[in-house]
Amino acid sequence: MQVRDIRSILNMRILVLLVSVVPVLAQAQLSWLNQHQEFKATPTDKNIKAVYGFTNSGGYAVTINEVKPTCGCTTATLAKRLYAPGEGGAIETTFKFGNRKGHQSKTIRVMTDDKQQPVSELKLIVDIPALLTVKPKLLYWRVGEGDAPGWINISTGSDEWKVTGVKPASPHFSAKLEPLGSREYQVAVTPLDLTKPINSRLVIVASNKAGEVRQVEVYLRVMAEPAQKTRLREGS
Amino acid sequence: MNRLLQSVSGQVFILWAAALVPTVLACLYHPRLPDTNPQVLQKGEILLDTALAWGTGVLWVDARSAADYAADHVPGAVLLNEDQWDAQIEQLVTTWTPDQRVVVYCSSLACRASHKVAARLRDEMGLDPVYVLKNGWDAWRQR
Repeated sequence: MQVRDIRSILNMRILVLLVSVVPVLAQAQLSWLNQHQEFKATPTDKNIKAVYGFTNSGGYAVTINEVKPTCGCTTATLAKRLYAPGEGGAIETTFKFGNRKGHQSKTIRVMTDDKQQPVSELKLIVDIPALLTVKPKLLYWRVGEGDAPGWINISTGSDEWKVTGVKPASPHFSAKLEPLGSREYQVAVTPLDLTKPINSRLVIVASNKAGEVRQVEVYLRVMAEPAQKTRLREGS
Repeated sequence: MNRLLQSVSGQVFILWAAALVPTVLACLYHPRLPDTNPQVLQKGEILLDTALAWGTGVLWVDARSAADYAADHVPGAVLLNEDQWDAQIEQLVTTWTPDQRVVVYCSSLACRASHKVAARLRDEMGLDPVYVLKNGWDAWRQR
């Protein structure tokens, strides 16, 4: 191997060394205490608050230009924008559940004037259990078709809650509640009038020993015949 | 000095090469790899051309915010997002017919709201089929 080849290999290795070492030396200014937070909500929670603490661990001041949650359901507040070297702060976030259920993952982007790390991403993971799981929340029949009952399955999120009643909102439907276990129920809904289109609801009522009451609505529809079927009958 | 430098750089090179292997594997096979290709369809997604070919047999569902919906939306689309689900679901339920395909969209490739809304329409409401429009409102705007 010639001297020139050895130098070439050495130069390449030095380049690799620099590429590897420079990012390590260029450390981010904002050091986050808990950039990724997870919560398990209770069925009655309406929101979750999470605080993301940080310290400016660099050698110069950092300005936080913007804190931007990716969902309109999440708000974020910051006491001030400029942080001197060594100074700590916190971003307080509130995630309003709305009607969300199940696994939720929200991101909050923090934009700074730090050229080495201009954007930090904060993660908020929340598991929102349902107090009452009702499936399906829509039952439908067609005008002129059979009046076979539709079935709704209900499960409660805890033994404290019991389904105490089912109330059709109109006299065009009847409903019968059957307990299947301590947390499981089934409702049979039967349409009583299939001569015309009807939009109605069934109200499922659950309560606990403390007297708290929750209601879930199921939509009941008798739909018009498909247009094609109507045309066929008119032609016959 | 040259020998020391060569030795150190050699070791760094080995470390760098060793780190390259899991990096490449993660890029190719990570289960939560961000979906950045607008043409590659994930489960339940469809392209705009497919939805347009279905013509009037589609019920469009706008999973963006009420403000975005008010600014502009797919003609005939129903507004439904998880912030106002209880208040908005009735309009969808009374509009939908079983012969329609439901297509949900949100803002762009990056948003997940359409996937969440589509999953709830299938799971809670029992609607079928329900699709997510690939690239969302961006695809409609750029058509």
